[in-house]
Amino acid sequence: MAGDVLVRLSGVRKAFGGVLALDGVDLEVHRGEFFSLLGPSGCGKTTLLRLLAGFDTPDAGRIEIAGRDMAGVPPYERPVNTVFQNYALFPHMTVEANVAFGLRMKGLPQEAIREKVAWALELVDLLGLEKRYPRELSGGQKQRVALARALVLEPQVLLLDEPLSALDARLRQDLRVELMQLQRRLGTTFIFVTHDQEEALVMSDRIAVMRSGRIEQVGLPDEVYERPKTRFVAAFLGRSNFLPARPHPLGAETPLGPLRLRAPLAREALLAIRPEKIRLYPLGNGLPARENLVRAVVEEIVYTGAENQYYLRSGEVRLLAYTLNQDLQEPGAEEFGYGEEVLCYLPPENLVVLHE
Amino acid sequence: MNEAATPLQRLFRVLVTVGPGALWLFLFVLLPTLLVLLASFMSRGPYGELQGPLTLKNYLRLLEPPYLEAFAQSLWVGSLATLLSALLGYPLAFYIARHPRRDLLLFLLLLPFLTNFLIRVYAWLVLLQKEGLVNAFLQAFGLGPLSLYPSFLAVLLATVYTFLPFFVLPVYASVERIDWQLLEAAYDLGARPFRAFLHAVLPQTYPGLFAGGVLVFIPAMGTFVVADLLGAGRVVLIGNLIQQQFGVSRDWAFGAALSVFLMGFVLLSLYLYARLQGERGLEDLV
Repeated sequence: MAGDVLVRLSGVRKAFGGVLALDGVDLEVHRGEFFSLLGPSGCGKTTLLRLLAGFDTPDAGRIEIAGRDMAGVPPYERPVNTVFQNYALFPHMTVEANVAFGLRMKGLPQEAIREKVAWALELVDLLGLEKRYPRELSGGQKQRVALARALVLEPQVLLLDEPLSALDARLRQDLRVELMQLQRRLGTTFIFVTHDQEEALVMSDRIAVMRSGRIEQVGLPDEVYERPKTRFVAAFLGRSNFLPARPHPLGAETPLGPLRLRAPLAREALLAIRPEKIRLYPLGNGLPARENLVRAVVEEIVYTGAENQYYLRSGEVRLLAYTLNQDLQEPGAEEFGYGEEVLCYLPPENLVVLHE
Repeated sequence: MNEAATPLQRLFRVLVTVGPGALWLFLFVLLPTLLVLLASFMSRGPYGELQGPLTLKNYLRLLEPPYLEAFAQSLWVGSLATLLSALLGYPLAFYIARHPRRDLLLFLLLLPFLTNFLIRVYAWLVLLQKEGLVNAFLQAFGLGPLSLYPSFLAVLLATVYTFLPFFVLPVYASVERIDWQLLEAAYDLGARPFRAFLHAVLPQTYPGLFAGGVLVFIPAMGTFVVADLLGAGRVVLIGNLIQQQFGVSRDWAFGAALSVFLMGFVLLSLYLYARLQGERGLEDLV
């Protein structure tokens, strides 16, 4: 996988009526990768996808797909296919005709078309629905038709524009797994646009987090989650506690007092720590560690089933900490109660220094 | 609905809600049509009045050559006018629907309706006659003068001019609702622009095209003013025949038969179209 770059963007810019949608994007996607573009609405991820599909042209920069410069190449000549957010199935065509459409445009013989359509419909588990019209299908089925219609052309890259966002939560979870399996089975490169951080974390080989027309960070899902580079990434993917910090012999001087880090801070910076990395201990039961211990008061407890979320306050600093619900609890008997003072341990290896 | 309603109360509700519309349709649609149907089976009295007994002779008379010819010419004018309206009106509807000032363009499209129809037809007469503006223009280029009036061409031209907006408006309504993402989907799947349009855009405008076609074809077949004024007797359409029967000939019975025939033809065409298109065709009709 590594090294074989299939899609390369360099310095890509795009503005719509004076509003910058993409502000100098550099990106490489490898062959066979499940690559996600993650970001809030308006971050430019859909614009990026449309540039790859060829529906819009960049104002500046270069887009290469499979080693070929895409400048001036119309969508119907690109080795990519798109799965649209709201499916964009042809309403006046049957499922079969929708899937056959691209093959017909290619001018394949009838027999080959029939074979490939059957193959694609089996791939997405839609055999038996050939003669239905899109209006007779459920949302999930439409999504599968859209997938089959694109995959039947065996594109080098499949572009997916928030394909699961119109489906209900349950179906979305099932289709996630199916999409991943499909991608692994076919080995097709997927570029997947989503604003759902969980979707991106679960499905992707690599994630690019985007923010106002720029790529904020690219990396493996755990890399992006565990080692966010910026405050935006740390806040957009999951939740984080942020601490302003100054250099200190131990590591960093913070509003919670001096904390040890993996490496001492060279200059002022922002620290981040995930709520589930903070460990909570009752007071006076022997110290779990000698450093990075902070006393805090429980202000609020949110029970979510799998975990308890503690909203804590230490002096002027508010902290959020999650504890896993590992033992069956008596109702109302949380580990810590409202107003109780607890000891928070902030492990040095989990304190991330943000650049910015 | 309230379950405790007595039959009388329910009857009252039905009368109040459906009653006025039903009464209107009965008085102004069903009753006149039935009267025309009845008249078509009667015959002309000595003073032009309707008289019995009931007979089929009016319908047999329809089969005589001059009437068949008028019918054929009506079909021809109606078809040509519809075709020309489609060729002009279809792109025009797209242009208007995608224009930033479409409100203004729609207003301009409907502007002619502020002038009386007869006056507009006379205006064509003035434009097309031997000393008219069109010939003056042609002569400036050394062409003509052409005898544009009276002629079949003049009739056709004015018919298209008159009914073009009726074609543009329903198509415009279709175009406004087009899902343009389907065009992108077609491109994405490898369709070049023409085929993408053909497969992804055109079908979305079928309802508008059909409605526009009907709205031009039917009145173009039935109109008599244009053929009268610009054809000056050379172009006789079924509408002219009907008008003659109710006017100078004073043969209401035969006029009624002609009308029934025209109505029957139109209804049959619509029905066949609907059958041809299956379920969807019927939806389009509504």
